[in-house]
Amino acid sequence: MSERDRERQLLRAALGPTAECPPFDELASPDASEKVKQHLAKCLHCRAEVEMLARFESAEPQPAESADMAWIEAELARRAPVTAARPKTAGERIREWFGWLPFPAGRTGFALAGVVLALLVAVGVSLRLSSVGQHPTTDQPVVFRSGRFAALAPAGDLTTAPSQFHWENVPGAASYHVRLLEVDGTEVWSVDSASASVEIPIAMAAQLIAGRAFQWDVAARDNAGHTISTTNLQTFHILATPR
Amino acid sequence: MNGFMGLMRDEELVARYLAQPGSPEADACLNELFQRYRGKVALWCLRLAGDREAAADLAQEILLKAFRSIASFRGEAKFSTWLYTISRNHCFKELKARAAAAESSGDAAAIEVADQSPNPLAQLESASSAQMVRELIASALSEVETRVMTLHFVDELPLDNITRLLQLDNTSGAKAYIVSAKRKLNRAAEAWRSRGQRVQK
Repeated sequence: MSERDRERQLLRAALGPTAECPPFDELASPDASEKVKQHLAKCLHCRAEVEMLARFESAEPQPAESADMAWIEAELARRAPVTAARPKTAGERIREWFGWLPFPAGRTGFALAGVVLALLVAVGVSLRLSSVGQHPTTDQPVVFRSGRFAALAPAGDLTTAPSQFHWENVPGAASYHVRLLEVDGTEVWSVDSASASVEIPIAMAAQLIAGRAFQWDVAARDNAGHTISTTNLQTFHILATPR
Repeated sequence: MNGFMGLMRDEELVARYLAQPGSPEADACLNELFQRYRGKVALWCLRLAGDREAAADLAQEILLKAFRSIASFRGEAKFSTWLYTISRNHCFKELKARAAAAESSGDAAAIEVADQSPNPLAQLESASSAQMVRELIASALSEVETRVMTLHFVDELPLDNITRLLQLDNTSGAKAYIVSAKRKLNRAAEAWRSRGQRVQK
């Protein structure tokens, strides 16, 4: 290793996080414990992180930045508003479907819309029953369960990095796709498994740094590779120091 | 409704949103929340990215990411801390990727050219080197130098981005701080070694 590489490595080790560093939210909490405050007083890395947070929270545009900021804000407003990305709720879908009908707004309108929906469902069911025995006309996957199954472990606070993911078995599932995510949704690792558990490779487990939280979820897939059910996001947190 | 929401804490707005997602009140809570932070996220992105088009893209990605994962916000931290973490991680990751794609690792070369001094820091040996360097940094460097070194060596941010993020207004920006910090550290390491040799004699 060259001198410069060694120097870089030393600086990274000296300025980077250590095993004693508490989770960032504890560091940044106004109610930080005395122990966390003492750590903060002597840890270069944690001090730098907290200072960056303060910089983020208190930042105000300089006069030279005002024009760019106005442009960015206008651009963000012009682009699809953030709520447009949210999946529509049942209420919104009903409003969307029946908005053209001359129903009054409010509960009465929803009640009337509900009656119309019930009638449409009844007609749909009777048509479907009349076609029992016929082959399906579509090769779309049958999502037999829109509900969810449970991601069992790891979950909650852990004292050591987990070695395995474990979840509920889904009848009819041919494989499972497991994703490990940062808390901001960035995918760290993913893997496919034929059974309801999977080992975490040692190299991957080494990246599950103490003091940080991670999330994971599982998608059950059928023989054709179509997702038939998913778990909720499960969260686990490896404690920096065992409590 | 907005006047009333303007008085609510961020965490209350999230809790109200999560209690009834999809309701008009929940949407209003979400709008209020993003209204409060859109400017901060945008400014953070502008200072890091350096141009408004890239900043708008980054800010949009961050707000979308925050929105999509808002259910994971458990109220254990402040909302601003949670959003900062997303902003920080997303921007740092994107900027590192862009720097790698542009092969703009000329930063290291620029520092080397500017700093041809001997390098006693790299000659420190023993398992406690990192702790020793920590002590040298704490005693020899200013807060700004430490901040610049952390962003460069730990977060691997390009020098230009560090200059803008920390609003460094000297001529050479972050590069000058790193060169100066390394000289100070090397002097401190040399002094420490000399002291050790004297003690051994």
